[in-house]
Amino acid sequence: VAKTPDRIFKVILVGDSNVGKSSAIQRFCFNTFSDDRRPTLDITFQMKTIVTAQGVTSLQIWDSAGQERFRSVPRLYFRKADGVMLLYDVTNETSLKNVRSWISNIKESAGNNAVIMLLGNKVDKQRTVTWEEGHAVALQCKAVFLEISAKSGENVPQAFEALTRILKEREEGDMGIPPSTGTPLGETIEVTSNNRTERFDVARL
Amino acid sequence: VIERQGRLYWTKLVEAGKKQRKNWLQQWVVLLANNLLFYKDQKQAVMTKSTPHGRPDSSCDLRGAVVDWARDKSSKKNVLELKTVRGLSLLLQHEDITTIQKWLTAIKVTIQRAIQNTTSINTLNLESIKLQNRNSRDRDEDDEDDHKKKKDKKKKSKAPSRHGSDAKNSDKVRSKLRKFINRRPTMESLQERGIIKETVFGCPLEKLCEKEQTHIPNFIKLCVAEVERRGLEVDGIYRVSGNLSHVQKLRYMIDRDEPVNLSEPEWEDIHLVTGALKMFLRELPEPVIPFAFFDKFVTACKMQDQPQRLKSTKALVQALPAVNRETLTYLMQHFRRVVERSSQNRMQIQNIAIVFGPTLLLKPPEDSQSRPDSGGSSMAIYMAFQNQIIDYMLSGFESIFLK
Repeated sequence: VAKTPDRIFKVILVGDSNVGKSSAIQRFCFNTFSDDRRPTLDITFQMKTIVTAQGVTSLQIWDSAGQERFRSVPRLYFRKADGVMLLYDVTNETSLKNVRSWISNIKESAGNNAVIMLLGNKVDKQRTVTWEEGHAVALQCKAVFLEISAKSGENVPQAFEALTRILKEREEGDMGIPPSTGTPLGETIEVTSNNRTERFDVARL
Repeated sequence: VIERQGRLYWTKLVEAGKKQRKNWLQQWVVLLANNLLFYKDQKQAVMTKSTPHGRPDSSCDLRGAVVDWARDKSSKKNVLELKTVRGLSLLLQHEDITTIQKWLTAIKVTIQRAIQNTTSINTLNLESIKLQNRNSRDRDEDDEDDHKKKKDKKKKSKAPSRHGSDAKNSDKVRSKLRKFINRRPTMESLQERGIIKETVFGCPLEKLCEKEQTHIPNFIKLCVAEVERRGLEVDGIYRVSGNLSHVQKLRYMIDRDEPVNLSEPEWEDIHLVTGALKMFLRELPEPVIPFAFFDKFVTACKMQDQPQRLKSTKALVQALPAVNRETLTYLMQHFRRVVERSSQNRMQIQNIAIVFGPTLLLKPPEDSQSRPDSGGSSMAIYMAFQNQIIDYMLSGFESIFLK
């Protein structure tokens, strides 16, 4: 039975070149992975519907190019984005260092309203950036933090589901439920999927 | 004189006649004789001599305003609605019913007193107060139209006290500022007089080569040599980004003509070098393949007949100004060597083409500027050509550039 979504959220993936933005989308939307991807050029988007106990939600997931030449392009797409997934590569310290400049880019063009999620990709590989380092940056930037692997699929659906949940909760907050009932800063929210409970840290709400 | 202060939830409902999306904020709210001020927290509300009203985030003029319980405006309980003469409508809310009642009475009393004050000053009857309010609103709107840019600043500093003398004073300041800004010399005149110089980055290719007495900019040679020395086998060379702040540092040093040794540990990360090279190419006022050649290369690239395609592309490369041709050949030669190691660095011809297509050739700017909104689809089309052209130049390198 085809279900119509209650709400469509616009989510955009950004981050340095070669951190795995397109791969993360490929994993989430088609559950596949290809080792040899070309750099992304233009901007494309995918739709994915998530069914939860609360209802049906669609995500409009935008993929952007990470090459410096296109630094200015994603800005146009930040507008009206509900959520931003900012990726870095746990095998590449530079990509984490550049997170700050991405954050200021996002703040400049999307305003302070977008929910930002910081994702460390490629945890299947030999890492050079620790979980703590990524987490510290996420706390500073007031972003939700999670480590994923587009190759093995670890935490990928959880990341998208968590973002959806946060967006939904926030929107309900906007609809008149006093903000004080939202998840307080730094508390852990639970996302259940595949009969498994993942716990992760919410630094922002 | 503070009538009342405390924490409240509030949101805009209507602004300048337009309905706003609700955005409930909990802020420190202060009620003054004529104004309601909103602060991020209590600290911001500390009043000092230099900032007589602290640092409010926003404010609202109460003169002529109406306040009452808001019903059906929000699903929250204990909500007040405040409407001002300027078409602004706010909702105020507090969990505690007695607190919100106190606020309601305080605001009502303040508004009433503000009305009495105006009447006593103007010795006019109630009917003309409305008129007077409307006049003051008109005046405010005019102000805003004139000085939209300074609107935010003005709101913060001036909104609390709108008196005639103040307005005159700030008009003076405004005209002074405007004169000052208009008197500033333009970028072009500064460049002409040599005050601002584009030394390396952002300097036209031709000028740079003339200055350096070469056909290929020294900086390109420097970067290429370094990449060939230690970067050819690095995974994703040219695709992976370098740390932006370090790339900027390298750029700054090059622009200041400071001696740079890329083999120093500071530049250990090879992606800094590639990042700086990409930045250099990007910052050229006109790309290595000049704007005038863009459409010609596209036409040549679209040809189906292979010998014809080769012939046209080759002729176009030959027609490039000497500096551009030699720089392009030099870069292509280098990219060939990168591609030869694609089993190690995973940079096949297509990948190099995607990274450098939009860097080496660009559609002339006037086209994209005249239709800024149509960027989406037409951009995708010419982007595909940018890559195809570089792809073709790389795969047919020997026959296009060498024979």
